Amino acid sequence: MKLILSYLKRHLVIFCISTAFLTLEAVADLLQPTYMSYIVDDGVANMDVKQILIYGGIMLGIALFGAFCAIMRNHFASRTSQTIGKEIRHDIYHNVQQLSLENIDRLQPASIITRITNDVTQIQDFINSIMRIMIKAPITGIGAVVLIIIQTPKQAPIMIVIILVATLLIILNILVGYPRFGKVQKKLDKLNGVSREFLSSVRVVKAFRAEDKETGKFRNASDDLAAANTSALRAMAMFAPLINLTVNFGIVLLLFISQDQDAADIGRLMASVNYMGQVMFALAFISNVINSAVRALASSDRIKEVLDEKPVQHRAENPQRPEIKGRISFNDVSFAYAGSSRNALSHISFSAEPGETIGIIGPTGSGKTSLVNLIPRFYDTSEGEIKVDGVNVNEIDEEYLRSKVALVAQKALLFTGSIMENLSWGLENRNKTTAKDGESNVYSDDEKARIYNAVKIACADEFIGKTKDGYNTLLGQGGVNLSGGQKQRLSLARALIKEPNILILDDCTSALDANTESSVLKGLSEMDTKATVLLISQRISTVMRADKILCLSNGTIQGFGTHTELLEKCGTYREIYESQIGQLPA
Amino acid sequence: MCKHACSMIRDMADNRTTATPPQNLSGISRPGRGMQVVKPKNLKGTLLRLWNLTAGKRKGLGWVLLLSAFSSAAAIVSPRLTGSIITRISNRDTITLLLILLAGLYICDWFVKFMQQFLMAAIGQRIINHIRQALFGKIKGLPLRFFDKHQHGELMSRLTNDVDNISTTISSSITLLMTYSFTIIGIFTMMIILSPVLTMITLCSVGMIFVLTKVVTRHTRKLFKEQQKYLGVLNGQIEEGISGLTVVKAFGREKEMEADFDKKNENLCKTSIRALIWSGYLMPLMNVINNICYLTIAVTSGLLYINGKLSDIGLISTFLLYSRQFTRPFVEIANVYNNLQTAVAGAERVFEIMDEEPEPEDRADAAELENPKGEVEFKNVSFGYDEGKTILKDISLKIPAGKKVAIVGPTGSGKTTIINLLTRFYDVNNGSIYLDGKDLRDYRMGDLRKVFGVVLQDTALFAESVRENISYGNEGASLEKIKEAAASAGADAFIERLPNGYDTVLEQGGMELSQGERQLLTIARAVLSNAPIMILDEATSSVDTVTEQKIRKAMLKICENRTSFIIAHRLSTIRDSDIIILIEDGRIAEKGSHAELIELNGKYAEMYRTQVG
Repeated sequence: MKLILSYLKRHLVIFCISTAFLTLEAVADLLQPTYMSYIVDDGVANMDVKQILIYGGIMLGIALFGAFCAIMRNHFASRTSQTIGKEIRHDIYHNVQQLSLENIDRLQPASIITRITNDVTQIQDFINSIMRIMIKAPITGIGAVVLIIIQTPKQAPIMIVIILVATLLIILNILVGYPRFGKVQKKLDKLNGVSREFLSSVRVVKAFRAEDKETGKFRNASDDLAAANTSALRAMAMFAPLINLTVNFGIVLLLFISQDQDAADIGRLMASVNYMGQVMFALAFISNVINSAVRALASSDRIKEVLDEKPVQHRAENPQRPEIKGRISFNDVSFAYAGSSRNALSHISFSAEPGETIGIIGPTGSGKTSLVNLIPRFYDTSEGEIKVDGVNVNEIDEEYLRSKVALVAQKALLFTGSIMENLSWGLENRNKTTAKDGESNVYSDDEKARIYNAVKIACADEFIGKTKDGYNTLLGQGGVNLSGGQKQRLSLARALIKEPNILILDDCTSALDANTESSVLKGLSEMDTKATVLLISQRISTVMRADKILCLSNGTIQGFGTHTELLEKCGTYREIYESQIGQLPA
Repeated sequence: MCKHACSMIRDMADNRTTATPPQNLSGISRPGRGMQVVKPKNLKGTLLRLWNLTAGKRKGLGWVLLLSAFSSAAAIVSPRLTGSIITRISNRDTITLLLILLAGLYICDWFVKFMQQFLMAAIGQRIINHIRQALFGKIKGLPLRFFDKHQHGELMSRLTNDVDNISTTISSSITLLMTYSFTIIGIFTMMIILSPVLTMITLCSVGMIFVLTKVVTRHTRKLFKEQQKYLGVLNGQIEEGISGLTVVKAFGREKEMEADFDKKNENLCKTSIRALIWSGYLMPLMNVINNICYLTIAVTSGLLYINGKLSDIGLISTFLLYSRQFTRPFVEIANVYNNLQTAVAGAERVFEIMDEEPEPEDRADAAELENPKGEVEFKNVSFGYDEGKTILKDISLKIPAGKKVAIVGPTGSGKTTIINLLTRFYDVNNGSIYLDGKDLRDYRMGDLRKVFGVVLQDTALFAESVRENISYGNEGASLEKIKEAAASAGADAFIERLPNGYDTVLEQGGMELSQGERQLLTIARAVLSNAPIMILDEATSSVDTVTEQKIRKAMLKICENRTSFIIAHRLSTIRDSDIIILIEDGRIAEKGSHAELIELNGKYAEMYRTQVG
């Protein structure tokens, strides 16, 4: 709630004006029956046509005034709720961008996305309805009660009883309802779990003829959900009609105690009956208000969690921008992922000279990816230090460091837009201009040369040429219309365009067939600008021609040296070699 | 009048009028506000189909409908009764009898409404459960082609959201529509009888609301469409930006992404404000029309009473109450209609699945398949997943029983497709596949799939115990057999290290295990199936080479004396197969043993050399 309030505070003036209009609107509604009672008591009773018309005129004035207020608050409410929605979305997005990957891992991307979309909408709707109706309902309710008591003072004690009973019912409703609906939610999650499992394993289910087993699981989950829902809905069936009944009994009692009412006051009695209707309407709404508030509260907690998240990595106080040639040295580096007690890397020390190619090989889970992720500071070391050209990476300006290091991950991520737009991410100076103006399609000859050259090295020119629109081919979200191998080649080209001083290839040719892969590797080795290359692969044939090879297992270095050296000295390396290529001659 | 009322309701529905008092507190099952109303393609047809689908599950619905008729009684009768009481009070008559009547009416109203909801809860859930299970029953029998085309998230949303929407909305819609129609007809009849003049005033206000709605709708329809578009664009950007944050950071594109985001955010905000303001006009303007109607009735009835055209003073009160109650059902029905449209559109999505072609049924003369030898033959087989795009072209191939076959070739050449055809995940377009000399399609599907033990690329495990995972599809297997299978797959060592050994429940569906461990479990599963033909599709692609060694050993063991198909990227895995088939561009390019192919010195030999160096 604090979160919602803090955003409302930014629009406090408008909110207050809007609420004032809303109040006036409610008052206008409330005054109608009162003037009606004057028509009856003063006009009709005295057979005074003029009085009737005068009061009618006043009522018309009030109605029009009410409409004016309503239109005003409609403007303010729409503007405020949507603006706040925009602000929250911006703040979340902004904050998420600043977070370290460790934070993102913990929050999970899918969950962040739901928060920034669904949860924000939830809050936006809540603010909108507060400013439209939620404040109006209680004002109308209270106003109606007050007016009933003024019109028919004898009704006062009954009104108090009605309100007490209704409050009790609403509280009971919540107490009975929420636990039951909580249970419904759990059963729903269960059902979703079963269907998700089925869908993602459908081949196996079919191959093992287990359709009936899965049907049984689904039937159980579905039956459970239906039972939970029925029980919850049945419990709720009680309350809304009971609240109605309470107010209706109030009307009966009102009429009962007004039996010996002065005939001259009959209009007042009519007004009170009318007001009872408004009380009922307000009460029905109050449970709705509570319900929305609870949901908005849950959403605001989820949003707050993201907004309160602070990046775990610290920015350097005096960020340096040393000239980077590509010397990398690891000095007794250990690293563990947050929340894991096991070290992903332990006591890693090695160094790479500018222009060298270092192959990294080792079993899955041996820490290859963790190791290279430390260099552009996607994560920070737990112990030890990593230096690039003699400077600790923690001291280097983050943006500068990342502009010099290119990391191509195994899973190629591309973005909606044309192939050209995706590739142009590698053009650092272009970044600034594209964001500002629409000249994103104009590239200088130099830039074009860089792009075409990189595309050629990545062996992507052939398939780009085959697409209908060439470089202007539009990619769907995540590059859905490309094959895995095509995506990998594009993402490699994108990194090469950066002309990085340090190039990290994290098994990024895994989806390529052996021939394409070897031509990619050949192209890389023949590049003009010599970057330091860290080359991760599962295939020994990929790494064996590297200047040096780092053999990892279980987060520790098993061996570091040339292919021949490792074959001689490193048992793990030898084992990998034999498993892939065959027995060495003894 | 009826026609106009209908189109008015449709217009009102388009404006998504909010401000309805809740039917219940749940909120969980109601469609979210701000959701766009999706228009159904065929409202009547779909409703009729739903009606037929729920045959036999509707017990008690008649009662609910009857109760709905009664539940409008209070709205129709009580204003008249209240008016009479007021007349009697002003005439100083006794009102005890009428008060008792009124109290009785209210109690009945309470009971009827309670029963209505109470009964509907069970009926609605019974119907929803039925539809959900029918849908799942349908889905499970669909061919793989279907699952290729549909995203999991989308299917799940049909199983839960759509089905849920259908049932809650339709069950509540039926009762509400009944209640409101009765209310409108009832009040209208009462008013006409009591005072035609005052009735005209009320009808005028309904007409004004109709015109107003038309005007507002003309503006909002376009605005909401625009809003939905911008929302989609923004959500797409959010999804990309956040799931691709690593890349964004790696390329230092944070500022650009944020600027882009802000632009899209601003666009959405602007259109949303306009859409909301326009649609927001409706409620207050409707309110002012109601108020004007109210005051006109107050004035007119006063004047009528003075001129002696109105029999008793209580009628003033009666009409004032009616005027408040007459327009509301129209607004409510607009809401109901709105929800109904969304629900029916959901139902159409459900029926889309119901109408999918299921896996072909067994032929009438389908043969039983017992103790197959495992001789496989492909004869001129052609196949493509999509029309006009052939993946396999005229494949002919004969594999004697008990031989180990390896399939190699570049990505996308059609290796997995061969397996998909063999297991009849898909059926051939042209040509035939024979097992022991008989076309696959002449066997019963159930028998046929039992012939194959498969280990697939995706290591599907279930959130059950390790033991249940291994015995998946072989539910009766003894623990002893399971352990044996695990041992021959080389999975026993790590299973025994798990906290509860074979009874350890894989809460996260296997994600708590390493890729290699998952793969070993699926191999154990295939071992246990003891099928005559083994299929191993890239079973070792994503594990390290040491684990691969282990898996390869396990594979060799289970392939002994069986026809087996192995697909692998790494040629080292398949060197000792009896027959190696090189697929290129959907055709068999080379065929023979390792030694033969090396000697041939073609593509295979070249691939082997590049991999081995």
